[in-house]
Amino acid sequence: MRKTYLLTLAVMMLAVVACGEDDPQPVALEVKSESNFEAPGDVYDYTTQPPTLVQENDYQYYDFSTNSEVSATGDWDIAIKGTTIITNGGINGDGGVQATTVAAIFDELDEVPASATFAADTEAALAINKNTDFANRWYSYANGIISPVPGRVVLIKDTEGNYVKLEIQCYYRDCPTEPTAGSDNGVYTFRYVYQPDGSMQFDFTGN
Amino acid sequence: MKKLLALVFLATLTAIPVMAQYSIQGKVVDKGGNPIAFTTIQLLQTNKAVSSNEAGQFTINNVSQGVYNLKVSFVGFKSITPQLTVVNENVDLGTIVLSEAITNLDQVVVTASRLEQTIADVSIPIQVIDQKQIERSSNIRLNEILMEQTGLMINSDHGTGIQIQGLNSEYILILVDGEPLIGRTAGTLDLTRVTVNNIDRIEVAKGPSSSLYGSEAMGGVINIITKNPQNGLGISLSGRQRRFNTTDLNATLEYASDKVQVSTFFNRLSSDGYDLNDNTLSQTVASYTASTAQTKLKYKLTDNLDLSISGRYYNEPQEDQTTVTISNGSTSSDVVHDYNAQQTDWNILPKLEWRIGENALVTLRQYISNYRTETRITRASDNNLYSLDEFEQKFSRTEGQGDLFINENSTLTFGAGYIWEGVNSTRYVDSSFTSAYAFAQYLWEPTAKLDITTGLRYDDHVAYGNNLSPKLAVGYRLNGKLKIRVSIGGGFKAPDFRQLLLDFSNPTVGYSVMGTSVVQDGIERLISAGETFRTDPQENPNAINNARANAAVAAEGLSAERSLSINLGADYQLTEKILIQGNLFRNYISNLIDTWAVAQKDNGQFVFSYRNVEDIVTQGAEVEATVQLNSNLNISAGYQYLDTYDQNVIDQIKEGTLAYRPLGEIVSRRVTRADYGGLFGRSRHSGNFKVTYTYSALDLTIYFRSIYRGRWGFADRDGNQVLVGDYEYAEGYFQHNLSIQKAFGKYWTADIGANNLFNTTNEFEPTLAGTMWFAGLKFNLNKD
Repeated sequence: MRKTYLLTLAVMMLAVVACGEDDPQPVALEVKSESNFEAPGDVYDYTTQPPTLVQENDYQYYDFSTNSEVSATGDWDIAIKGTTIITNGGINGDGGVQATTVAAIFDELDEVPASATFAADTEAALAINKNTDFANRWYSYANGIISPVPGRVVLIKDTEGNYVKLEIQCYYRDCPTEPTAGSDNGVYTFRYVYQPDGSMQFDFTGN
Repeated sequence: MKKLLALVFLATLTAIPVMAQYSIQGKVVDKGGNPIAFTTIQLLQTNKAVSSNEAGQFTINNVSQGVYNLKVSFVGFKSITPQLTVVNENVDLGTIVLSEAITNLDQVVVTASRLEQTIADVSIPIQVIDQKQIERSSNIRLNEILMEQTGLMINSDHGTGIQIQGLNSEYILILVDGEPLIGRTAGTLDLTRVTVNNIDRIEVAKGPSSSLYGSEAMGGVINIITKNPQNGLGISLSGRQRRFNTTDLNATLEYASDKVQVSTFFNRLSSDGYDLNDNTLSQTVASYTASTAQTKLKYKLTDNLDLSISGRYYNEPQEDQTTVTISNGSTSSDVVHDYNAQQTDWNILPKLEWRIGENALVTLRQYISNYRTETRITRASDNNLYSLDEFEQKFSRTEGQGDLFINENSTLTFGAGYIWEGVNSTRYVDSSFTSAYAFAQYLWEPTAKLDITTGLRYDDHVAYGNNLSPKLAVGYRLNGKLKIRVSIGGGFKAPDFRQLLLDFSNPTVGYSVMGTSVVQDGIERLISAGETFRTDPQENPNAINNARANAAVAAEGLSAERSLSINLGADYQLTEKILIQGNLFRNYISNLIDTWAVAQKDNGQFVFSYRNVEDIVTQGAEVEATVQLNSNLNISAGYQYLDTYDQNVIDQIKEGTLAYRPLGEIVSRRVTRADYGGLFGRSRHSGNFKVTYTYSALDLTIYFRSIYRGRWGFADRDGNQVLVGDYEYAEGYFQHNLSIQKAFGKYWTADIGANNLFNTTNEFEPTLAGTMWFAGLKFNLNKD
């Protein structure tokens, strides 16, 4: 798994300005990204009714505060298997993670909107929604292809009360320009900003 | 005018003996002095009408003394109406010269008002494709001739449908001699079912005509008027061979006298089909043999009472092979299967026309139609049945219409009817619907310059409640050169059987589609069969309850889709040789019915049902110019600009919440109004260019057409379900068609040419199959 750290231009500029100042200044937050995060779904033979389970796969767990994949017993925020994304809370974990999905442009979303309503996974619905109602789903399915809905940003509030904005960018290995139903799937690329200070801002930390 | 036309409608040659009788004779020629056969000559103050013979001559017998107007008309020529006086002797009018009309403004149409009117008198956008154009084009099926017309586009989706003013096949009513063709797949009425042989003309009324025709007539009405026999005996035989071993054979036998008209027509089209995609075993178009038979009988029971019975039969078997994925434990394999499909439809129409006095006409019609399909997939190795899909639709309509010709300037039309429809199918729950309706229309010409049409129709449907469809059309002739037309109308489309009753699971892919009346039962049935509506045990634990809740929402039912439309058009006769016609249109459609996923099945596929969604708009402009350079050369050009949008998407763009992902990028970007491509399947630009050259000395006609269809949205590929980004479009294309016809003597005509001369193919338009050359021969023995 390849890990990329992106440093925004703002960080560098601020770093320059920050030298020579005595007071602690807000620091611009980094956008971090994860490529080819492998979290394949269970393999079913769909030609039978009900479908036959051919191979069962494990959830893959992720922790935003440490930017890393963790184990099921670790301090995880979300876990992914196929198109299902569960959160550590509610019916799926002991933590207090809550999430919601909003329609926004990732780069422009510099704070948690006041209208955002966070929820934990429940029997009725997962916090990161994949219900049949398109208005809230994180992905769209057509002609056998899973496409993350453009302009959907997942907002997560972790157990410590820190906020994350997350954009799922693709579902296939190496983000092919035109994936087919046969492309290697359940291989995520996503990017996110983690705000460690408990504020609802996604631009700077340490205000 | 209307009164006179109505008289013609019941034209009869029966003489009423009163005192001395005289005859009127003459000869009809064109400007070059060539006789014109089959011209219609009507003695307007009587109900006498005759046709000219091969030599252009005609005689009207048994005329009493008096002053008359004689109307001489022929398709493609300007009609004239000289006055004459019959006193004590026979009248010989000598030579009557008709000049060619640049366009067909003199063409008689019936679709606009259910009455015979000339196009010049109609104030809704109407287009006529006459027999001459159909024959010159050498086309054999309805889709081929329609796609050559300005503003009409082929839309291939479960068959070859048509799009008018941005509205697809399901919103367009297709009539044959005024009666609806039934049998649609996913809303599309497949135009390849209709042969263009034996057609007198095709009338295309654009915009809603629900005020006359009710449901489906929301985007337009296409009325195919089949030929009526000429006096005497007529025989015509023709055959045409095309690429892909396509053979089209036609035979017509007809007879007409003063008392009776009878005609029988037969068409057989067979083809090997073709394949545009080498990756699949099944062909793009399967091999087929399509047979059409039609017969019409009209009998004059008395001077004032006509009885007619017509019937039409169509049968089309198709053969192909396909692969079916068969699973055997954890392995699956593709197994070759035979595909056999059969389509049959028939209809019968008894009709009674009763003329009461001079000023009233009553028409009673009983139309019965039946459409059946059967699709059978069997294993090729041992004929083991894999799937059988049957569908049968039945339709009956009883209708009465009265026309009251109040005076020279006003005509009142009113009528009422009752419809019964039934469906039996493996995919449907057997069911039937009834609806009743009444309509009225008033045509009024307060001055010679102004005509006003108002109409209203009320439909009461047992499943969808009622609907009121109004219409107002106004035409104003500013001067001899310019006529302006404005029409406002409401259209509607009742939810169809499919949207209510379809209960279908795709046997190869695994999705299900359920109509709103059956979706709750369907979901329960799936649950009983072990369906849990989740793709793995962890996910969406309460999926069954979600599925039930969504099904309950769907079961609340559908409302009829409605439209409100405005058309603003003008005909401008720039010079004697140049005519320009234009029309601006806007259709606002509310309650659009769309599919939505109510549940996701264990196999990962969805259960779809239907719901009313947001409103859409289609608007644009259409312009056509025709130039008759000289008697040999006619050039025309047409263009349509079309803009469509979904109001819900516009709202999201305004809020700034709609995003897209450009091809090859993984970052979402905001969609601006300029990025939004409107509704899928609509071409912003389309047009055509046509040249007809007639070389009289050789009896040769060359007809060349270029048809352009600009790019259109094909599929959402980035997951936002909205048309944004170049890679979501199908590429536009040009198609060029050429036909050369030559007459040999009196009876024979040969033609040769090709549709799609430059071998255009387009993976998104399956009717574009490369160059389709053809050669044909026709024998026509018509009277005299």
